[in-house]
Amino acid sequence: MSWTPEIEQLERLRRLRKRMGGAESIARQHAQGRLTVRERVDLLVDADSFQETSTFAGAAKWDEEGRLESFRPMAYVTGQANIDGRPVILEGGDFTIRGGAADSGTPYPRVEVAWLAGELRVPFIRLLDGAGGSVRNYDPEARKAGGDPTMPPGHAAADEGPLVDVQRTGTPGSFDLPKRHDFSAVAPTVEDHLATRMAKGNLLAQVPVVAAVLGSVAGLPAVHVGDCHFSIMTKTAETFVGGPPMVSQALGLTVTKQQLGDWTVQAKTSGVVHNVAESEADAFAQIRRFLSYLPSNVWQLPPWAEPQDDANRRDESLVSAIPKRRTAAYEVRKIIEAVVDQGSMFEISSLYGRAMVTMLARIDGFPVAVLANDCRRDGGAMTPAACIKTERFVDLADTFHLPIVYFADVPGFMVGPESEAAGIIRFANRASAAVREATVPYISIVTRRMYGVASVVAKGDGMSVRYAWPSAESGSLVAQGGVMAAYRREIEAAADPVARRLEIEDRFQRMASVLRQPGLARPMEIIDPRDTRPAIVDYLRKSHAVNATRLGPKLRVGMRP
Amino acid sequence: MEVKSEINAIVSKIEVSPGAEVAADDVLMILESMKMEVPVTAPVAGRVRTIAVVVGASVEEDEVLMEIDLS
Repeated sequence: MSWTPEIEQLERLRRLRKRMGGAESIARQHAQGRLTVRERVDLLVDADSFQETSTFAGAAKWDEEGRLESFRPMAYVTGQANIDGRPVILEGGDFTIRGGAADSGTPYPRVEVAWLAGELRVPFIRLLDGAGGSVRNYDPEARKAGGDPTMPPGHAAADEGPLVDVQRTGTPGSFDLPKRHDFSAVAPTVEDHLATRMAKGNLLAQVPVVAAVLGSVAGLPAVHVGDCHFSIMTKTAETFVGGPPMVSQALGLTVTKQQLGDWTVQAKTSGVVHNVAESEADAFAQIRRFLSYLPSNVWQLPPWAEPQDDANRRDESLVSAIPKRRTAAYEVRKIIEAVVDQGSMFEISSLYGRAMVTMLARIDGFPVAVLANDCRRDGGAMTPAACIKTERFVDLADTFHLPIVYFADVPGFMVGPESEAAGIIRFANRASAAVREATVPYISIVTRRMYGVASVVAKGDGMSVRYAWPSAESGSLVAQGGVMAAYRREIEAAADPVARRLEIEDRFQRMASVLRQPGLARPMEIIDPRDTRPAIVDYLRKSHAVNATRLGPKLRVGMRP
Repeated sequence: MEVKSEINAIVSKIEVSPGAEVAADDVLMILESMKMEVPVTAPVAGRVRTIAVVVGASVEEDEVLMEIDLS
């Protein structure tokens, strides 16, 4: 007597599970230029590290002898794995099974892995491919008729005998509603501080959460695209809360999936998706890269790595990085490149809110969050999109204890009808509040303009320090805009109004230099641009000890404006 | 090879003529946007084949500014 027969049946079921929706469905997936969920997992995680969980989720039928008769697998693969030697939890939609549709069999195991990520305090990754719930799931007639007639029939598992049933299923009348994760098993111990207790149930406050859009993603999975710290999509994927049929019904509009939610919509216009990948392999490489800058959870410091770059390196290009002509633009990424550890730049959300560059990088081996105004875009002004991007990025840095390094060259918040209609006042307030609430070390380098209320992004309170380059200038508003408003009568009364205006502007312009009025920019020191890297390294090393004492979830009280 | 505009802007200055030899990173033209002068540089070394815009023209993001034959 042993359990060998049962173990053999389980092995059989496991083999069936690995076949996903069958050869035909897999071929269809490949024909679309997309990988299967298992190929994706293999590309994403360390070799041989994947341990599947809920392998048996779905519905199996057993005969009276205890043999497997048929199996209807869950349209999701879930499990644990390592990335660069660090544990993660992941789930992936299996489009080859019922189009990755959620059904009454799927929510439970999926919530369970999110749960596990919260309990084990490790990153959680969602590889999304598939729609949300289907009305078929709660249509008793369709169930009686043996499932959804529009779906391909179950495939025969030739050498295995039993059929893998890929028909839709569900409990009549049940809806697949999102559930909040309540990690009740991680009851805070007495030594956990208040914030830990308050973060209970909020995965985003505890561990890195990543979402990849790899196919057509709609419904609840589409909501997950926004419920994360970092999202990425391929150029052949789309995501939307409701697809073309729903749009047609509700709005009478005929649109394609691409028009609704391809990368140009979601990564450029809406900014919901951060990065775009050229291929699925590229998407996984970017996910691994993103996670390499972050701790596994908020109770840890970001992973320091032995720097390959000289802490005191003084890059000569910085002396002439800012053009002498005030109106000449420059590429701010070259300045960042000259300052951070070589080869450590990873830009986030490069196509959205482009007047603000957001990047993860390392300086002296410390992971840092880099903010920089890009004067080539919208004059570097804080547009509504740039404000939203700044708010989210500062929150990300603050949540995971990444020091922030900000290269400031900002003429102010964006003016104009378009900006006002988009709500610049609201988003300006929110970005300012995020900076104010941040408690991580915050280093600002004022490279050129620092004007108006937008200059609050160069944080002046908390654990912050501000340096200025000799090219820095500051004031409550740019002279060119302010002079006409303040001296209108004098200018209009002059014999040559234009000459008079330029004369006054010039006077204010010279006064705005940080060398004339350092008090305006309030730098701790005006530095030779070449000393920027040594100055940042010095502050990072000194503030690190303090940063290390402030781990755990960030306590945020009340509401943002 | 097409050189495209990365921004919505007005062409304020064109620094090269058709037939000109350019090195990578040479300034090809200056665009103006929000009072800032944004240089457009050569992505590769080559010879300017055609220039698709004139000074004063407004250009949109991704609009072709000129074509360069690789040298």
